[in-house]
Amino acid sequence: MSAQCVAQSLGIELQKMPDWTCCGSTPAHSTDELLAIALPARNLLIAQSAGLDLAVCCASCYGRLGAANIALAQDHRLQESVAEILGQEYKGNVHVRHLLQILYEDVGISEIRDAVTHHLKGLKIACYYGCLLTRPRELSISSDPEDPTIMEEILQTTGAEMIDWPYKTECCGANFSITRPSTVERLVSQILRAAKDSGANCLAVACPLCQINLDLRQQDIQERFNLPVFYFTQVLGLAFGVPRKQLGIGKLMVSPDEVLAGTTTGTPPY
Amino acid sequence: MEQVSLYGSNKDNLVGAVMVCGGGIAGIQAALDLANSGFKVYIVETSPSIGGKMGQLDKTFPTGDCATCILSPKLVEAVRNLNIEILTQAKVEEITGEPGRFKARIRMKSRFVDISKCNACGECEKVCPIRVPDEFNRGLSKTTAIHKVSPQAVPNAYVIEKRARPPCVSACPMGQNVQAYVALIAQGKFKEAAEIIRQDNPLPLICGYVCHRPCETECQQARYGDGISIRALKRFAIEHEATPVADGNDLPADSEATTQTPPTQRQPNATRVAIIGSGPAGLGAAHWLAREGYAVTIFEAMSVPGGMMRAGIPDFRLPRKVIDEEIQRILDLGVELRLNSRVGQDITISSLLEQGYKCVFVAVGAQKSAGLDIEGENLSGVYQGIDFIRQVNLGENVNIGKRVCVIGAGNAAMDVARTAVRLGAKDVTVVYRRTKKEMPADPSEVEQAIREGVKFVFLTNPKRFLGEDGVLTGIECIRMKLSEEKDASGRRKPEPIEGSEHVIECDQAIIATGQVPDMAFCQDITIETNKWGLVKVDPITLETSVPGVFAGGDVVAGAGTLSEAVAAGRRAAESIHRYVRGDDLRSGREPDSRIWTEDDHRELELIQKRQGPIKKSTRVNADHEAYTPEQAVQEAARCLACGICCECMECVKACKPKAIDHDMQDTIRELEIGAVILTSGYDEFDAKIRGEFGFGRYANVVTNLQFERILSASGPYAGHVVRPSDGRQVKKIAFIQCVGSRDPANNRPYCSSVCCMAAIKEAIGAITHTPDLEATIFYTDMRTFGKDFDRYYERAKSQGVRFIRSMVSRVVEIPKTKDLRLTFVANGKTVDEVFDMVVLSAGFQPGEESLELASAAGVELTEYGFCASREYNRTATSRPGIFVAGAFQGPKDIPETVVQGSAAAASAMELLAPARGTLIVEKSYPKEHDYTDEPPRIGLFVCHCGINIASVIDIEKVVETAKDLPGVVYAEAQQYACADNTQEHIKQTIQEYQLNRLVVASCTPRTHESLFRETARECGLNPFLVEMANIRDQCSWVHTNDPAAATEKAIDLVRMAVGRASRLKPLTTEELPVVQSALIIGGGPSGMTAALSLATQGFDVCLIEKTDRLGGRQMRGPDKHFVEELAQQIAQNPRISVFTNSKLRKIEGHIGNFSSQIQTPQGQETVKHGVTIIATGGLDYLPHEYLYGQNRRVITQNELEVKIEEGLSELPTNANLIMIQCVGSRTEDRPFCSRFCCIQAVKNAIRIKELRPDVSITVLYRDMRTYGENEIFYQKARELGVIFVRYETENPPQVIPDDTLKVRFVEPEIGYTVETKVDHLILSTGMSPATGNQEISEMAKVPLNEDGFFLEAHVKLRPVDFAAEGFYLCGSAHSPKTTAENIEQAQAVAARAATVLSKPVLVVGGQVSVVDTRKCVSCLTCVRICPYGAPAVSYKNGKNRVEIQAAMCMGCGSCAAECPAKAIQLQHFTDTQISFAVKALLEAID
Repeated sequence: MSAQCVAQSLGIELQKMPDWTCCGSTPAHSTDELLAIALPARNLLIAQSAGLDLAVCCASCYGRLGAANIALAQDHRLQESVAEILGQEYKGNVHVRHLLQILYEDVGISEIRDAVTHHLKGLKIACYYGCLLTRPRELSISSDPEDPTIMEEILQTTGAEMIDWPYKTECCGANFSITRPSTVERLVSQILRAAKDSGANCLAVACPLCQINLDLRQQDIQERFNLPVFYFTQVLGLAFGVPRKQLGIGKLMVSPDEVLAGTTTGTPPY
Repeated sequence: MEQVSLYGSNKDNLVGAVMVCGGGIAGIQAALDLANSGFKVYIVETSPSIGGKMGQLDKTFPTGDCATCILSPKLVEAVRNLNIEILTQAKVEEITGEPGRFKARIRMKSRFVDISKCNACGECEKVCPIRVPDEFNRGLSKTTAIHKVSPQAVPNAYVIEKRARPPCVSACPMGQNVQAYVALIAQGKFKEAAEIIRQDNPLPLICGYVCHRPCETECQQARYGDGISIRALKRFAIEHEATPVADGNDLPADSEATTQTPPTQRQPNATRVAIIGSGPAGLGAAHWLAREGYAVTIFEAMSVPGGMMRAGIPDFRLPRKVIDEEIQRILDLGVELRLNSRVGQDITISSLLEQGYKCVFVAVGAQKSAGLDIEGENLSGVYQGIDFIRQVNLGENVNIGKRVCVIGAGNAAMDVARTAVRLGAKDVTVVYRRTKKEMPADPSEVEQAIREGVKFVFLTNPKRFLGEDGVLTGIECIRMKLSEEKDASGRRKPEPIEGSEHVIECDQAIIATGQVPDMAFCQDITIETNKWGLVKVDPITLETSVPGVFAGGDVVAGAGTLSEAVAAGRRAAESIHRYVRGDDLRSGREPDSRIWTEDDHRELELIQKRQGPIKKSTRVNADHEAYTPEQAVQEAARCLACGICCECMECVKACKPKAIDHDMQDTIRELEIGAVILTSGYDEFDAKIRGEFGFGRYANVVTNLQFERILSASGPYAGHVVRPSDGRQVKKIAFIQCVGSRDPANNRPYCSSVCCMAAIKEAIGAITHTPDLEATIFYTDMRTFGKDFDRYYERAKSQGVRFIRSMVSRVVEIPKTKDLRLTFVANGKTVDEVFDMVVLSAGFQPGEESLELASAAGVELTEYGFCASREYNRTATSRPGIFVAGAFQGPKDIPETVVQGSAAAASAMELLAPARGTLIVEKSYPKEHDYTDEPPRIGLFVCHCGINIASVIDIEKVVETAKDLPGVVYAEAQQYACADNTQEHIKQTIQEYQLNRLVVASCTPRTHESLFRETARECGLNPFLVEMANIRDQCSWVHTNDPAAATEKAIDLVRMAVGRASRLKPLTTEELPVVQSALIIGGGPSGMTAALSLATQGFDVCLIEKTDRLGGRQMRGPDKHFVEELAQQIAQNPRISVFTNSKLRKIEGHIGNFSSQIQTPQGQETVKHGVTIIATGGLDYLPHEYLYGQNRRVITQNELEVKIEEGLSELPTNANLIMIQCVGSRTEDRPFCSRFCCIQAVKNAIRIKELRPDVSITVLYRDMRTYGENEIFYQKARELGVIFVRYETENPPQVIPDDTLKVRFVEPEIGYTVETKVDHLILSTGMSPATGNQEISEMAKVPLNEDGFFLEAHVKLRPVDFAAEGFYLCGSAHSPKTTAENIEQAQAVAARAATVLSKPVLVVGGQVSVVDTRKCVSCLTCVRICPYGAPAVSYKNGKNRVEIQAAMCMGCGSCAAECPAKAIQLQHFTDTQISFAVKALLEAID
């Protein structure tokens, strides 16, 4: 929702992919190598026939689609067997890009800054990339996989304060939400504590699964962190003056009302 | 030999000079050896100072010497050597030619400081406003843009760091030095900042209000957030130029003097220049011309001056008072202003020229509105913006409507709209055909307009004005859309939407879309114009088509900006000045070449990232509010100093010796040399690549080089072990080894060799500083393989350093405390532990400079970028005549670097031997006068040392008091006693006053005595008649808080110096002939190599070998072939006499002249030689462990090598071999590492695997010490399937004698015991010292270490010298090592020996001890105390008396102090001299 609003504000046209399927995520590549490639390849094929590149909002989808691209480019035999499964040959010409990259590289910081109408003063954001956006290195959205700063650079335009913290590429354990909830709770606690200790009053993430996990899980954890977890385009949307409702702000589990108090009425940053 | 034969022995073919590229310790050693043996040397160093990485270290292992303390003397020696020329900031661009005759092209980067004039007083540093990361402290502290690389920098001179011109400066049409005035404001130097602004800007305050500030757009800080508010700072500086500085360090500025320039009277005969128009262009030109002495007259059409500044800019943006004041300043320069003089109407240009005006500058501006050219423009109610605003600004009555539409979106439109609001319009709407984003107006102006209630209608364009009865009623507009197509300005082109016409009702419309010039002025003459109706001029000179007439500003450029107009005025003034003088109008006016590039930005960004997050802007409001001084300082401090040096010229003002020249240019030098030595060293691995350790991200994660700086007393924290994040004392520190070493994933598979020892040394250093500090070293293998290194390792353990064999997987900062949590595996479990600080042992890698040098030199590199070299001659590169030494050849520690430096020098000497001595200079001096019978005539020079001494000590008082001291005939003060011109002055004074003693009261004799001695010698005064009083280091520096007492102490020090000087005696030196041949003991590879090198250099060698053949231990195994070849060459060399089956019996004499007796099978031989080289080698250790000698299956590695040579045919299929490391090494009895056994084992394993892949090999080890590039063999062995299993020292493998043979061992990580049958058990047995060492040690009086190996003079810097002069050592006699390393030491010895043998005579005497034989009782106290073995008992005049051999005496005075009979006096420090110094002091106290 928020991604679409923001893209629109910045003049990016997003087309919903017809008949898309799951990328397979972690379950696929921990079960079957071929399946792990074939599932994303199917989506790549759809994009290929539409003649479009892929904009991805999820870290895991981004990783799988990108990995499939690389694997297919390197392995001719694999390419053949995938073509056999899907009944069509994938030419490897679809670029898979995360929304962060599109905003950073195509739109550019100064354009984003120009679109900002509301200064989000008082927001102290810990940007969280999770484990998949910067790994493996060849798929990293940042040249520095251990300390990416692209989300910070984008969100800095909103006038919010960016918090430097150590756990921005830590795993949140979302994949084990059902099977090993105690492990996930431990990981989430660690991340939230580090964010809080670093002085953040909210988090911005670039993966819906991380968002759900970090946001939803807070009620199961003993310690009350009370840190709202935004998908990063929600923050941008607020700064662009998009109505909260359109951004789904009300759907967050940990209410951001407190941290947002006094921000949306702010003035443009001149 | 072979190289020389290429040229025969014709000296003319070879150039007796060597270029050493890199001034680190390797380069220095090579240079000193070469220069001291008759070669001219050029040291080409890329940085501003020599010394390399060693200078950055705190201590050295294992001795704990201060690195700087032992390095500095070498640097000083190099700088003083007449035959060494040091080129700093120099880069080799190309090397052409052939061995023996090369040509090198060197680019010398300008230093901006003249080394010959700079005396390093430091005054410049105090005034420099720019702070940059201090590279010497690895970015842990900051230094100034003009700085000395380090306190001990050699040459001891400052350097200025500059980058490209900062973008803000390039963006300014006036070329204002923005960075400089911003930097000065940040320092609280408002007056100086204002001066900088005024230099290029005659209307600074006006600009401070209304400049369109292109500088702020270009500000690099704007890339990260808000740019610097430069315009507001400019206004601040001008308004505060009379304000005392914030920190109160400076005197309050004299406000009268700085703000008011007294009116200048114009010269009656000055050249007259007419300027038409008193706008910014006209005023600008008037200012510069009047300052050049021209009689300037400005003709202004209006009744007030100022042009568009006054007419076009409303009062609320630019107060009238400001305009009046700034114009008055210019008129005060003697400029005449004629108002109400409209050119073209009242006067004409041609009449001006006829009236005697030499030139006319047309700066009439663009005064006419361009209009829209649409229907209804002449309706009443439609105004032209420029007319509207002019009328308002000039105080005329203007009608204002109720509903006002302003058309246009520039600053003029904003001015009009806001003026309309102020005049009472109810509703003001701006109509613009594009969107807000494309508006050319300053965003802050737009914002102000919005705040004031101005409405905006975007994407709307007027089609026609509608009216009734000739009166405006509204505007018919059409909606626009932006097309994809872009126009010339780069903005999207607006296009009308058909059918979207609509009407905006209004009763007043003001068109503010642009202005054009009114060309009425050129009625009488024809001035060419362009298609837009603007005056056509030459863009560089501003000449029009009419000679003598120049034009600039809006009349040329169309409606432009204020600063562009002022800049045009200056350009015109320059052209007019040239025109009048008849100079070329164009020369030297090329565009700036130092343009900022993206590369510059990337470099800036890297530095920026290290400096942490960007500070937020402190701006209060964009423009109209003024800064308070605190705010201004804070805002200015955000400047990134893009250009580094800002050229504010404060240093030039501060520099008394006038050494600074900001216009210095790079130069090219061509050198002719015979050989080249590459010693460009290494770079630290960029630890940021190993991101999991958080370097560059977490403040308390540092590299080992940074930690060296932290430990160093001269470092960023004065030697306190504190954390960079908060300055808190470190209590718990972790060292992580192998960061960027043994790391194939990052193409660094090699071991960096030194980090293990360095980490231990640093841990001990930290513990020494903070005794309860806990230090932990995380390592994979502890590689303490060097001489005495294992002892050091054991000592560290006993001092409490914790060693954990584990690789740390990650480092995470704990946000609140900035402590660091390390995760690692220990005992099979994942452990988290928190530390205060983490030190990463970042490995070696070849630096960018080395790679460039290699390409310029045309030498090949290894896969990892080190210089490729030959196996047994590691100083030889792929290009003959070009040699390599030090860390560029491969990672190594300091002694090995020094050894290689000497070895490379030897290689060059071999090549250039016939040219030795052809290019060196020796200084000659006038004959010394004989002062024996004269009373002392003392001349005293007291040095201010800038303010170093003079700021504390009352120099005049010292001079006055000293004038009356006994013997003083002349005394005076000097600004800098050491300056070049002062030396000349001292010489003249000595001659004029016939002085026979010289006393200099200044700094320390350690650095400066030789300079003054030199000066004395140059005018025939014996150098020993010079005395120094150290009133700086020992007085002004240590008593800064008590000037009165310091002055008294200085007087006392001078008194003592004068007292002693009165008893100084001229001392003479004598020359002893040198026997130019060498004796080498030991015929192994080391001895043979040294012998061959010396013989090739043309010296005779006597080589003695105790066995019946040459070759030593290495006559088997992989080195066999090489050693045999050496022996063959020896046999063929006529200069080498070999005595086999021979032994040294006796050695007598001293350096330059030894006499030895040798026992040969034929009888005793006596040999005369100048130097003695000990190369007695070592002995294979014969083990008794592991059933060696009892079971035929148990063999040594050496025996295995024989089997491998035989093809391993006896081994059954799938044979099982086990190797055990450290047999007889690192044990209690033999606590040293034999160094080569790990490498030998790995290489043997590889050879076996290559021969017989079926054979299984297991290596049982304690630490695999495959250091340097040997690590790659270790890796290869594992890849070939060799199994490596560690064993604990307490739990060694067990051998079970069986009819076969069984080995039982424990895998310590998992605790699993393995028992296996083996076909062969191979013992890696290491080495013992040679049996004869003790005997030789006693005979030659050279020491052995605890293990029985020979002990060098200094383990770091004199690794192949003995303390006793003339004795050298090399090879395994020194310590166990590989053959290649032994060869290197042997080459090094050849170079060291050549420094003695190349001289026909040795100069001895001077400051040496002498014995009064009448008092001597031969008690031998002096013999025992002397560290150099100089005193010897000899039989003279019928008695045994001690004689001190001048050739060996170092003048330390130990013997004189100890002699119970007072029979010894140290010359130059005799009892009489010292008592006269004391007496002089005591007399004063009485």
